[in-house]
Amino acid sequence: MSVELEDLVAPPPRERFREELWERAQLQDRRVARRWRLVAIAAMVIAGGALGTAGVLAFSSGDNAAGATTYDRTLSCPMAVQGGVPVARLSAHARYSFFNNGQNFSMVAFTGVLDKNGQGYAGLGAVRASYGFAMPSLCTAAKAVPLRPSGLKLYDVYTNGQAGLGGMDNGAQCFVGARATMRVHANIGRNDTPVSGQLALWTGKKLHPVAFVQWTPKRVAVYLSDDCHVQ
Amino acid sequence: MEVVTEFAGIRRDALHAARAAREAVSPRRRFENLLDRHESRLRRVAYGMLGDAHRVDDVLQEAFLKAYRSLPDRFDNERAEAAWLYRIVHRCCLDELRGRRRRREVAGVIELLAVDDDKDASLVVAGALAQLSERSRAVILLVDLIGLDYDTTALVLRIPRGTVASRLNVARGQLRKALG
Repeated sequence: MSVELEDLVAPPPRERFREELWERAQLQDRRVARRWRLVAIAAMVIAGGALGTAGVLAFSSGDNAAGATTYDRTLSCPMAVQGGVPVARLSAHARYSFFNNGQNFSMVAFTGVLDKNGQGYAGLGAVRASYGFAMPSLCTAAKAVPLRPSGLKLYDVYTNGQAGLGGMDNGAQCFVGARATMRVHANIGRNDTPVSGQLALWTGKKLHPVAFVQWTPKRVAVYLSDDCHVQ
Repeated sequence: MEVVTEFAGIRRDALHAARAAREAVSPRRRFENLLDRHESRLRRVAYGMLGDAHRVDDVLQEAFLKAYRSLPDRFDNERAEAAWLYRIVHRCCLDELRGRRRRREVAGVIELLAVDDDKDASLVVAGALAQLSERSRAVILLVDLIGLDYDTTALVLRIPRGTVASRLNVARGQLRKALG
């Protein structure tokens, strides 16, 4: 019998091969989301009278190699529609505290891009493992955008104690395209906690900058384009 | 009533168009299309590399997950797309083979034993490929089985084009010998 390389026949895929693939992808997403929620819960300490460390939002990349000192990732994500147009909500603040309903809250420094419901796309906060993208599977890898204001105007600088953007308001609402490219760069300190970083938001077919944040837990500089409005 | 029906029809068309447009840019849909184009060939390459039919699905799934996570917005051309995807699958196959060596497993024992019994051509080829080195196997599978050109194969394996040619020459000789 003459046998050729072309005679090699691969085994057929097992039943539900593709379904299993997407189930595994969703499972990974859920794990990231669960970690995200746990970090958020762990970060929020309600202190009756005394100030505690708290954070409303945190992101977990879940893919940073152990021992890495920087995290740098750029992804292009579909943006949620708000009032008929895609809108990205930018939050950026240093540590601040407030009193509500008889309780003191202390919020950790944070910057992030969120949708209208406060669900995060990308960001970094001064809490352990809270940096990166919340739902990376919805996004695709993208070419890195610059980590500088790139012509954007300085909107404000927030320091300790200032609620900044998204602290006590809805943050900056920026009109974007159907997709936006976000880059998170974080310098990671001890305990896997970001000590400084940048967040860049770009959009459009010919990518143009929308927002840029230079972030440290004590000082947050926000640069915005004219497509952003603060309410 | 007629106006309402017409309006509903227009609206349905608009929704369909919007959904089609959404799907066109959905990473999952794009990736599904990508798999539709390449999966059968990737499956043959993975089987040829691993020589173990029972591990092909798991290794491919791992590779596809990795690929989906890093799916670029677009590819410059078909060659870039194929090179990117085949490279991920190739790397996952090598990881599996490495893991197998660490676990001291014997690859495809059942298949190789079966060769003596039923002389199935596919198993004979898988058995012959198992006698080749991983490098030789990779290059002969990509060029001779799948039909990738030398340049794309060089991109997949990250080796110079000349090395592809020389490895292929050696691999062809080895395979001829192994097939008797």
